[in-house]
Amino acid sequence: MIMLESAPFTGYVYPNETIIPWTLLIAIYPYLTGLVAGAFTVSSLHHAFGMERFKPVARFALLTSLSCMIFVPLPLILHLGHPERAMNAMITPHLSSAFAMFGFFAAFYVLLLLLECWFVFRADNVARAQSSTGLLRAFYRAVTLWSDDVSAKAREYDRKWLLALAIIGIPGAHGLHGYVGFVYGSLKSREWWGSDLMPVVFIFSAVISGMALCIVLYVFAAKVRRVRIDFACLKGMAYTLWGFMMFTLLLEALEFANLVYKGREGIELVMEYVRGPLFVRMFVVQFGFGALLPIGIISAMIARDTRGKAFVVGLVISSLLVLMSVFMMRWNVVIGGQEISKTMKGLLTYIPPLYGRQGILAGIAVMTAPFLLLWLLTRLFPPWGDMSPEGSK
Amino acid sequence: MTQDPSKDKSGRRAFLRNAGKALAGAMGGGALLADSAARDEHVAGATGTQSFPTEEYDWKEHRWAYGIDATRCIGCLRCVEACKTENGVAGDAHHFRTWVERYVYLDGEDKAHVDSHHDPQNIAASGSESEYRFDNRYKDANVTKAFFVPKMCNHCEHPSCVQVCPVGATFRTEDGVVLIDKEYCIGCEYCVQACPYGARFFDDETRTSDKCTWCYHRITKGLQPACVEVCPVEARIFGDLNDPSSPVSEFISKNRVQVLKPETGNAPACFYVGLDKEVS
Amino acid sequence: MPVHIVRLLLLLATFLILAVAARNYVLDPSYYRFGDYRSDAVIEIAADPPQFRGPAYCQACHAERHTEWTAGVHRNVKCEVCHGAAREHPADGPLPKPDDTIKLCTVCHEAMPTRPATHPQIVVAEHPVPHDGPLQCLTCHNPHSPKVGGQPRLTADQATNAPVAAETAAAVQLSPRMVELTTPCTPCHGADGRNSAMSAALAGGERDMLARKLQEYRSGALQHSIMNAVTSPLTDEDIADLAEHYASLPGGPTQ
Repeated sequence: MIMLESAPFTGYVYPNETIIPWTLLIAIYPYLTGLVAGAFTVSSLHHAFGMERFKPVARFALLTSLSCMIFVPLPLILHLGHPERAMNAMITPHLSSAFAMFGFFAAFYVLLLLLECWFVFRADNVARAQSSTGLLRAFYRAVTLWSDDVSAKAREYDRKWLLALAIIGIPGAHGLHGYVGFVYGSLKSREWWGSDLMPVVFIFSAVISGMALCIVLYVFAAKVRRVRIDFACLKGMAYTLWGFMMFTLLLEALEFANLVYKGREGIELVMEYVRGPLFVRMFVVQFGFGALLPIGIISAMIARDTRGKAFVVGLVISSLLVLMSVFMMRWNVVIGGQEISKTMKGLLTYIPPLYGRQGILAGIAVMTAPFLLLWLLTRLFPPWGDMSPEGSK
Repeated sequence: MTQDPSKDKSGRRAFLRNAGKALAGAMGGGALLADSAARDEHVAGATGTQSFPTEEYDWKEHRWAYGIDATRCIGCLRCVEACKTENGVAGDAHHFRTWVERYVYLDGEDKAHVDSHHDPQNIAASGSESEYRFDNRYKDANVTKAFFVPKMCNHCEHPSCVQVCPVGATFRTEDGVVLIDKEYCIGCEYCVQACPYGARFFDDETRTSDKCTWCYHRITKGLQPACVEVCPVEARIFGDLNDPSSPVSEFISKNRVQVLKPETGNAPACFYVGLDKEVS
Repeated sequence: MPVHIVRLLLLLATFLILAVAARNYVLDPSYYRFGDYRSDAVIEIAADPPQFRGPAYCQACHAERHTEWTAGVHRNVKCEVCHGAAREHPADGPLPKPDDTIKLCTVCHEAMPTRPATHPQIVVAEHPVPHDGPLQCLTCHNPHSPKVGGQPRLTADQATNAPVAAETAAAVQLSPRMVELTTPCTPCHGADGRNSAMSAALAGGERDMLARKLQEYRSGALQHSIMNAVTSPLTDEDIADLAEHYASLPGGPTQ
């Protein structure tokens, strides 16, 4: 295995810190779980909270959540020194470890997502089983567990199960992602990470990233399929995104303010870092372009009651900015925390390699894979029946 | 199913429901029983009078601790090289089970200059990344105060690393040593992040975490850790706290000792004399 | 309950049972014995063989060297610090003798303002007298008992190769003035003036020749950085007395 390049440093850092342990992949991982949680939240607006407005996007958001969830373990597996031993965390979970709880949270949540998708698409799958032939028919028959019961009673069961799953899924999804924030927030070894607000910040930024993704994918799918966009749905997502964004920005600002205000030992180094290497990444990109600008755009559009194509364009641009800013936030937390030395006397610089298991190309592959899976899933289990106002289950 | 939903408690539905409950109960109970039986079997053999981990050495009889006299350290780094030799640590300047830090105050300055073996000038002074020495960059400087501080795993009583390990690959033994199970570690590096002292690192050869073990394979044979063995000035002290006449017991009782970063609550078992305000 | 729910539950149940069974099958038997870890790991770690064996191990074969060492000021510098870990020695061959003693000894003894002042330190270019060019420490110091005037230095073949041969310095009665005068000479030429391995043998030499050499070193006619330095403070009377002293010593060079 190729050793990671040692990180250049200034000041004094512990000798062992010059190899940065958690790399690009570990910044991608919370980004993916964030998309899972956020997309699930969008889906739950309809499936749990019964908001009809979001029906057009609900099933698609569910598939998006599932596609991302399937690939969530991939960056972790690529990072582990012994991926073949990964199941040790489930065979002998060390209960005091947040990572051990991840094994169960993730397994539980994958199961929950699969079940929810199963129920949501069951009626359609039964119909498809009946109307297809050959291998595809066998596939759909197996997926429906060889049952073709779509009577009112069966659908009543389905509805109750779906509701239960959607409700359990909300703490499930947010627990899954919130624990990631907890992993960082509960560590006392790094000033940049150890904060009680960290899980909350992670959860809220996850929700906005998932919502932004759903917006982008929804518009993209509508364009590709050449169908009309449901504006009520889109505007609903815009409102939700807007509200959560403002709250997320507030939380992130609060967390940073808390750190500065406490002014614990080592704060000079943190401020040197923030004013130096971190300034552009955090204030210009993450807060500026990634938060204030999209909030501004959406606020302006709402104030001026923008409609039609202009609204869609403005919203998509805002969503893309949000997606970028949430990734930047993950990067600034994960990598930034390791660039500040535990000695509080020095700074390191992480430059990801291009090749290798933990390189940029691997990262791109990990980020692309869920969308390839999503495409496949939308072919096998088209969620589109809901997308145009005319369509219905 | 064509039954009237109002007839809830009768027929197939009731049977299926009850059967389902029974099955779930049996499964759950069975699984739990199997698990606890398996555990009981293991524990039964252990708590007896058997000496563990070897016939000659019983860990219940010892409570190890380490002392460092930073006023004596001359920064010769024989300890750093000996540790690498003894434990097969990678021969480069980025993986250390133990290391020494140099603190130098120059006239007119309040903050110390700190350096260690990963400093490029020190690497140039030794000529290679696998031999270690401090360069003499301060020989013409106006040094007001300077000293060396050896560092390593503190084998804390409440180790952050043990707390976060997801698989139980790192743990604290009954005799007070924090060890790593190289056959079980998955290499997630959570422990590397959690250690406040920077004592842990990722070993590329075994692809697991690694750190100082107080030379457990030596101390269980009545030897001293390699670093203590080679120190020419008795800056490193090791011993059994259960023995009041051991070097470390005397060191602690005769000196005002400190630990590094006490605010973490980890309760380290490495006790220092001669620390300074800047040592972190 | 609709049949698809029943089948779903059965599927989940089967999966759960299989998962628990698989887990119990692969669970290491020594896990959970003392805590949340594999107790066999402790046994495995404790079983590793030591690489450093300690001076008592060396003493078994190198008794005389060991005695010389424990009596000297380097008694806290263990054998393996300079010779490397013994490991399986002698089974896997001899241990190296450091050839670049300047590099090795200065690791501890180079004067650094950062070292405790009580620790013996030297500025290499000025020790024992100002010189440029390398002057290996073994020229004057026995690494096993390095205090000058104590144990004799290593001979040339001791320093590189051969097994230990004990040497004892001949006891010579000297007046205080002669003690003072010969102090700079003893480290290289030996107290008996006979050590020829690294320097000229002086014992029994012709008195006039010895005096003339000292004069030539003092004037600089003969160039040798150490000799120039040690002879520069000598008076004519000093030179005469030194020449007289060494000429009177018995014997010629050793070996």
